[in-house]
Amino acid sequence: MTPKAEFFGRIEDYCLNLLDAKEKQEFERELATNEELREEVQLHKDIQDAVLEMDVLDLKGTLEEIHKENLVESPSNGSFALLEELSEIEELKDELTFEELINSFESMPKVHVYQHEKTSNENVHRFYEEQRNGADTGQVEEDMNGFDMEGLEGLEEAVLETDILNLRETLQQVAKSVEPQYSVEEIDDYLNGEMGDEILAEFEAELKQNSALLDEVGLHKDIENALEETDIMNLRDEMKNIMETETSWNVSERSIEDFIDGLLEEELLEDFSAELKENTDLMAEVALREQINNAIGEKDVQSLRASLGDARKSAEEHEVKSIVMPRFDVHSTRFWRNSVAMIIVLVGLIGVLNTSMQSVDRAYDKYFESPTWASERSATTALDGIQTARIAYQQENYLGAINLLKNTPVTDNEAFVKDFYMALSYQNLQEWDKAVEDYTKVIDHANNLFIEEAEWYRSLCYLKLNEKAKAKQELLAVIDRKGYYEKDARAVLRKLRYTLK
Amino acid sequence: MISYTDAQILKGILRHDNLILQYIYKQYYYKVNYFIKKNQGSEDDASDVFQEAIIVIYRKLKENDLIFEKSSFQGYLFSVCRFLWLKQLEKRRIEREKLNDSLPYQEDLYDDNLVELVDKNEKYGLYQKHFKTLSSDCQKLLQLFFEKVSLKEIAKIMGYKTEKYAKTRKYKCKELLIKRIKQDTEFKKILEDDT
Repeated sequence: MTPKAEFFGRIEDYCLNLLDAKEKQEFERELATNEELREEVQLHKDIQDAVLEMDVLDLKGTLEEIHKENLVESPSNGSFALLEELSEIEELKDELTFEELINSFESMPKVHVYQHEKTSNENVHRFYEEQRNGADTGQVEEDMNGFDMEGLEGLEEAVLETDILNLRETLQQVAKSVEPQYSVEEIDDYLNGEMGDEILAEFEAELKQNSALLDEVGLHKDIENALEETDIMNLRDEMKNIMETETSWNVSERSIEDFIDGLLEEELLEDFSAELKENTDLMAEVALREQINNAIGEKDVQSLRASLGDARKSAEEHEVKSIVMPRFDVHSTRFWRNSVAMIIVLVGLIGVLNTSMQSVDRAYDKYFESPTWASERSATTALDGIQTARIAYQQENYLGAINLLKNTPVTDNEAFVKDFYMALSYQNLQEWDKAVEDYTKVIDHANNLFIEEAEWYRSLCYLKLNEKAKAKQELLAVIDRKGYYEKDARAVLRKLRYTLK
Repeated sequence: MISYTDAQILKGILRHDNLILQYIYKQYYYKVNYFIKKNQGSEDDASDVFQEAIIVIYRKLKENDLIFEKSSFQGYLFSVCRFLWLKQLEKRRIEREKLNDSLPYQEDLYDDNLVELVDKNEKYGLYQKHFKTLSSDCQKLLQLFFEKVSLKEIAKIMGYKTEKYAKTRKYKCKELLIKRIKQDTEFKKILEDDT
């Protein structure tokens, strides 16, 4: 080996990491002082890296091939292939008039080409002109190659090399994480003092020098410590649970209602407003309650809904061949039922919604303080027992209504009508047990039009009786029906979710 | 609503008293929520920060390292929440200078101890989060092991035939846990912060 070859051989060995420790040390000492050697080594490394980047080389090769193919395939006149056809026309060798071109086949593209031919100061034409003339072809190719490669170098850096660098980094990271020198079992054995003496010595020696192993052991220790913190894990779970189930506002339900009703004063109002300003949950709650109040206040809409409901029921009733007893004044009964339903729903729901979590009672008190009845048209027909009871009911003579109803003979199949109004009267008299009893009869009948209403009113009675589980069950049944009271039942459930637990 | 003194609140946190925890939540959460939402955070961020602030306070209490001289529970809680959120903003590379401060806080509480504790809490929280994702079998096994219950006893409790199997199973569980932790991007961030 000549000294020059030996020189390169050593550089190569160094770059490929083939020198033994002593040779490497010697080489590096030389490298530190010899700038020429450093440059040579750098060059070797660059070449090595470049050679290793086979994908870049392949791409470069492919691009060059494409470029060459383009050069070969480029038409000599460089007119986007359109002149190929034109060149076949002998006449084109001569001067063509514009009209002649227009009249020929594919005239518009040809006109376009014609114009290009006429203008010689465009770059594209210069370029193709030079190619056609064959003048200095080699030079042009060289220039073009130079130009192309310049562009490609930028492309390589921007697109490929950053990718390669990132990939290399990622691979190194992956290698670090997936190839631990010691298994979980061995590290655990070490931490638990279960490692054999021989391996222990080796492990500890490694530990002193290997920071990755040290980190790994540290991680194991940390994990063990973390998992021993069962109290903290429990506390975190508890906090999470509270935050998922509790409301985040610091004011009572009553304060919210009073705020909406404009009854909060002075300090309370100040505190409430301060919280409302920042507490988005409270803002949402106030907005929801206001909307519910507005919705309940829409008596006309509710009345319309009731009428539509009746129309539907009436149609169904017709189909099942009159479930309600035929001797009833249907219109009057419906009116009574709707009126009672309306008032009970309005007043009852307002009462329930206005109440605080603990004050279902107060809601009912409020409801029964001043029940107002919609005006009713005068009954000119002969009064039967039910109609007389209705009048008594209107006059708030609930006891009288009950007595009249009790004395009104009805068949078993018609008893649910009587039971329903008896229940309503008992409810007005705050005799919840009796009301529940009669509502139950209506529900148990299983085949009448009052069941949904009976369930709804019975749920309110259960609330009054403080039978929360039953009330909840009843409200859920109402929701399941997806009928007229579904939304109201949901609202009551939502409002009372703390007391219904 | 009933109000509690700071001493009652601290005792309540130590005991994990549900009523006290509820009280803290209702009393202070909305302010933290407001602060975080004003500073590019979400509802989820707010609940995470609030929860972790309580955990940090609990850790302090456990170490007997929480004495309110100039501050109050509220002041301390808000300061910790603010600190935790600042850390998050830093991680997300969001400028802290533009912070919209709506929480009263005390800068002097931000000492090395708090920084260290918050870092530890973050790291341990991550490990605990992954621990909770293991099967209940694995969780129980590892917990028994860390409680220094003998392998023989563990095998008996878990219904394994041999101690050897209990040991192998424990390694498998731990290996899985470590793998999940290492794959978590948060873990990588924690490592970066440490270096």
